[in-house]
Amino acid sequence: MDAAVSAKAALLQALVRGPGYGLDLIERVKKQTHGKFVLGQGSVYPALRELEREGLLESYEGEPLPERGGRPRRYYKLNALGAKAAIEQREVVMGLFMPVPEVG
Amino acid sequence: MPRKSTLDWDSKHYRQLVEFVRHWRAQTPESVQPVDWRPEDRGLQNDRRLVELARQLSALARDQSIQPEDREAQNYRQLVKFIKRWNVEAQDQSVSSQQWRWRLRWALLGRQTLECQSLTANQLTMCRVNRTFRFVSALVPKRLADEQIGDALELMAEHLKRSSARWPIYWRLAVTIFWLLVNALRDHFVAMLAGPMARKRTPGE
Repeated sequence: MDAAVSAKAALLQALVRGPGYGLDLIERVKKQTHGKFVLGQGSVYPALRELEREGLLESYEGEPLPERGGRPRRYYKLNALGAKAAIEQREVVMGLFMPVPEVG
Repeated sequence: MPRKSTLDWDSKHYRQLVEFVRHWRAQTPESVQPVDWRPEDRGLQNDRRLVELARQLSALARDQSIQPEDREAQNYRQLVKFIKRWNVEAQDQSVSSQQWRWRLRWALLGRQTLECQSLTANQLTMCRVNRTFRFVSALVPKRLADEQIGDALELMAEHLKRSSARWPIYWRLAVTIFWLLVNALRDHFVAMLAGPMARKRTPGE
């Protein structure tokens, strides 16, 4: 199932459920796909930054946490453009699985 | 033949501590100072000298009015922490001179080392991990470090709640450092390439 979904697409869909940070988003995607699509550290962070550069996401820092060695979490959330892109993307993917109307 | 001093290994530190204690004693009423301190007494056995010094440090740690400055403050904090952590009571005769020697050695080590020395196995692992991450985070942008190292630390903490195996921690450490450096390089090159292209796209050029 590796090539079926890109990391960026998976992250966009995961963010439809609300803001999240890297680790949280990895878990969301894993749960949503029943463990069949697992994002790795190598792909999730660059994908998030790329989505942010493309203007689909916004990010902000949370509070520093002791379990993170005093480092803050960086939360990502969809903006209006990102939400629209996520919906369009979902429609495209769903369209692929719709039965093809018989011709003639 | 005179007996070889066992304090030679860190006589410099010993002198520093002696100076520190002497400075403190000069500012403290005699009534609250522990007796039996003879740092200059060459005839005193080394073990005895260490026990006496430890007594001074223990008393010093209890005195909340002492506010040392600069370099002294750092040493002082280490010593207070050390004494509190190990519940050191200089009056406790059950502590052998050999133990005192090691306790003092620990006190003389750096703060990080001291913290690591007195922790459980899992905490010791996390201490080493933190130290490594601190070093690596100096090499990459803060945002990357906060995000990736923070997430890795969260994962490690979760793992340690479930299991006592430590190899996954070190594995996670290695993987995180690898991807952190790769992502930092990738970001660097993306920014480098985006720079000239962005300039070309600037209207009016």
